[in-house]
Amino acid sequence: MLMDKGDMRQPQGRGRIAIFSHTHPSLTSGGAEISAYNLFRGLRAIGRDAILIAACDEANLDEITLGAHEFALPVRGAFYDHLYHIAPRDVRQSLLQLLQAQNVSLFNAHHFLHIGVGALADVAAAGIDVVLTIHEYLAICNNHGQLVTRPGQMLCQGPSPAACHKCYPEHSKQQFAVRQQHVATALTPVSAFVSPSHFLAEKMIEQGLPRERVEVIENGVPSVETVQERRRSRGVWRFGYFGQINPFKGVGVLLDACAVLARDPALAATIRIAVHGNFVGQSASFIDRFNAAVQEFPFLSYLGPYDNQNVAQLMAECDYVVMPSTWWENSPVVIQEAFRARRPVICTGIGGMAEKVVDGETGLHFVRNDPADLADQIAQAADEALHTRLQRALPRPLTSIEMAERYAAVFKQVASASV
Amino acid sequence: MAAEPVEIGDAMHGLVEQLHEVEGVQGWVLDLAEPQRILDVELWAGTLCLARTQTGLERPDVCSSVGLPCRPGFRFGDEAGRAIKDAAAQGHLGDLHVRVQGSSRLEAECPVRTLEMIRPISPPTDLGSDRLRATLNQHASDAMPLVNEATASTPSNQIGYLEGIWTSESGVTWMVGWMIEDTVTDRPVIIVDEDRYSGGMAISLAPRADLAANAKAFVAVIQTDWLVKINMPPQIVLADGSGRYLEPVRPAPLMEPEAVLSIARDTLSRASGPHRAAMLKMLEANRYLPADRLGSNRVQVDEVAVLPGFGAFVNGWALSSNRQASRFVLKVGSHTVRAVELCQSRFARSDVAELLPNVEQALKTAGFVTLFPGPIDQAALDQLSLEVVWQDGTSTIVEVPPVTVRVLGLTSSFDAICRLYPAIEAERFFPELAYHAARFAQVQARSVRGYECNPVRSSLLLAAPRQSADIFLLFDQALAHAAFLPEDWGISIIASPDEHRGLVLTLFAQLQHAAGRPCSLFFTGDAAPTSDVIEEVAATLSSERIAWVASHILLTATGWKDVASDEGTFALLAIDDPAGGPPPALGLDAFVADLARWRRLCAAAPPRIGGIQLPPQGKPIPVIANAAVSLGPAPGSPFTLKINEAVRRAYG
Repeated sequence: MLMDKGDMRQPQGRGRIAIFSHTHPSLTSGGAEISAYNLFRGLRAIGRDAILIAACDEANLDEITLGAHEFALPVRGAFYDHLYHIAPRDVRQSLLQLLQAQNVSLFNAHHFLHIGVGALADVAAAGIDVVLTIHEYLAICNNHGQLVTRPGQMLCQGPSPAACHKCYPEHSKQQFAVRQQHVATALTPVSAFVSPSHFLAEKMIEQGLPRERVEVIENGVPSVETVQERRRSRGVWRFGYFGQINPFKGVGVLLDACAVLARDPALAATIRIAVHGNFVGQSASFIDRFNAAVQEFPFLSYLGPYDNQNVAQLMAECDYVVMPSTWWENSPVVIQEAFRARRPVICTGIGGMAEKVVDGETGLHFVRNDPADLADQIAQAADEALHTRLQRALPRPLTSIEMAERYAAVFKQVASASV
Repeated sequence: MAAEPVEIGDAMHGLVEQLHEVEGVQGWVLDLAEPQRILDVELWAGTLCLARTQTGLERPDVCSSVGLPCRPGFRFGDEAGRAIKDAAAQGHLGDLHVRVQGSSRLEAECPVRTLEMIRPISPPTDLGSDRLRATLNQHASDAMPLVNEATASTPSNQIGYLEGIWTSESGVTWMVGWMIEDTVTDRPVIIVDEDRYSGGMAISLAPRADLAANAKAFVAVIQTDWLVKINMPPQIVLADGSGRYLEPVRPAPLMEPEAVLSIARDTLSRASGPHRAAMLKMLEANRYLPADRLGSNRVQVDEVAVLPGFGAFVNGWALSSNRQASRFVLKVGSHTVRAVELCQSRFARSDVAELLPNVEQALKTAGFVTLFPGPIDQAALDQLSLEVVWQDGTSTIVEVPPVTVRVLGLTSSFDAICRLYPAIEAERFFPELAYHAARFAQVQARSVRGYECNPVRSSLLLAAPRQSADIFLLFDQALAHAAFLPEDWGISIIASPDEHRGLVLTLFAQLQHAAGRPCSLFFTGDAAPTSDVIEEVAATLSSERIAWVASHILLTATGWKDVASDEGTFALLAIDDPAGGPPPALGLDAFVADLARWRRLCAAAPPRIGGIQLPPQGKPIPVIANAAVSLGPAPGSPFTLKINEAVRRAYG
């Protein structure tokens, strides 16, 4: 088995692949950009000629750190439409020129944010095969691609113009119908779609993606040399949250669960909950609420943002990883990282999370938005026998290399079909 | 592409060929069911019927065209031209059109002509303070040669009494008193005490209860070198050779500034005349003017909503400790307008209770909303005053603070009137109000300026939507489909200069660079773009054929392909609901037409907020299927929809 040590092999003469990410891991550390980056590295590691193109706002070009074979595509956030996902023509032209200048034969977009759905058609029209990896539901949901209703924050079972208009009354049913048609038309020339989870794949197929063009490939994570399986401390149970700290990720539910746990001083004395991540883009009131909770609950601590390259080590300090997201999720990279670190996951029992974490086997589920149930699962998890049993059943996550090999197989099929 | 015809029927068939106040009004019309019947034909301007005539003139060309014996020609006499000019001079608004009595408008093949275009620019009706002083100085100069022309002061020449006199530090002499009513409001005078001095005098007259019917209280300002002497009150002799004069009261007129100026203020509050406003300004500038002592009557104007051409709605309250308000009069410069009592609403104003205790009964009807009909000179909106006539005949006049005056459709929306009249559509004046509102909105909507103009024979006019997302979509689709247009077609974007202006400019630059067709950009005044701009845009681009797509409509790929393929003079683009609802009714939200055909449609259609509606047609209209989709309901509040419907029922 090849291990990805950043060992960049020489390209072996097949068509150049461009991996497009809506941002770069040196700027943000969300799952989509991490997955895209891991794929890029994995393809290079198995000898494929791959480049990474990351969209970057003109204002942040000084902050992006690019490695070899990595390119920044300047975009302007103020001139992008988030309803129909339309980018100005100059951005689309720039992308096309870059692809043509780099002799790209296959374009794997991990997002259409900042370039617009029309860019996919532009690239296909230029004779370049297009594969779209879908990390969330933005193609069918205007609410940040979360499939969660507004303002009620309920899970959306499936969009429709009338339902979307209820979430966004400032936009008409007709606009949402046009959005649907516009996106569908733009996705027509895409040769293949990749989803990291069956859950998301089925949701998209329900909304019209052709089943025969949809593949499911799990997000791979880079291997690590050593894994600390043993618990750090016998006396205290440690639960770690990893990721962006925002309401969608259920951090509010976690804070409420802390209030429930605090009512049992004996239990509270045996647990530690550590939050890792950043607050970029969050409201002042949410940050204030978080800080107040950290002050109030001695067992809750905020350990700041983290470098994704260190996440394995950070997870090794925990006994469990907590993922309390309030939206469906797809295939959270955090779950794969937790499996790599041999740590069971406590997560909301819905969507992609429920697909990746089997309740009672590889982790524990709790009821969405229910802090009392989350607190109950945390209390239950603080048990040696259970922890050992769950840990033993954890699957081995796909490595970046393995992910890249599976992607390469899809790319080969696409290339063959287009000849 | 196959065109689907649409049936819209009307028995009258005619055309206005000439429509001008000097060149004449003529055309032809016949009833296809009874072609030989003589028809009564009316000339209208807005909601005013100006003249009538009948058909009966021979028109062999028309008879040959329709294949029926008939005498469909009509021509209005010279009195029609005079009626048009008179209506314009009186300040009425509206477009000229012709209709068969009891039927809808006739199409016209001549340009639209409105009363606003014809009305002469009226001179200012009021003199500012500086102009007044200049006039008085001139009168004083004119009086100088007459100073020493002695005239006998016979009692029969006395026309009134001076009751108060005071000279201000600026040299202006104020006089109050009463006099036989006179129409001359400024003149040279001679001031006579132990010597004789020339002066220029201006007066404003007001009613006073203790005077005979032909006498009025007056306030006068005199520009003169004469200085008042306490022990020698003067006579004021009119320097017109008549010997008429004003005599000082005995033992002496009031000379304290506070007393004289208080009387002057009270009189001016009830006065009329061209110098009133200027005199009020001069009076207010006086530091000796005492604070107003509150009487038992209180009046306040809270809001005035003016609809140009129609009238003004005044909202306020009138409260007295011992009388009821009977009627209301609005003074606009030198012009007065009585309120329409049947359109008046009286209601409780408990919020003013603290001003007058123990008047609970009066408070129940203290508030009022009332209509003053008729054209209101917009130049005089800062010079409004309201007279409340109490039941005993006395009155209270208050200045209307300019800050309370709004112009409906310009500085506040038409919807604002609903606050004053919650059931306004049930009011008898609503149809006429609706007409003037629609007319005014149409005039505002026609204002458009070219930002980038590239003349082209045929132009696709795309109104920019209100939301930025739809603006992106519009340009995205234009870039994608511009190549479908023939090379002699151009694309014109019409946008309002709102917060999306920068976005429109950015995207337009990209469209212009890549479309491969002549592209133009226009910005409206501040109204949202409607089909009212078509005439101006087409004229600027020298276009003879236009296609119009409203801001809430999006052309489909089929629409882009087919919009230029129809060869008729006029075709509608069918609009579907992408959300699966019933399609909107066919209309002028999306169409293609020769400019001449568009002009005839405009002439035949009554005004409408948001662009004219398709008037009844005599024959089916081609429809281009699958050409467009709706992005949502047409812009416009529920109230503007009611306005449009009222105009359609009454005038269209």
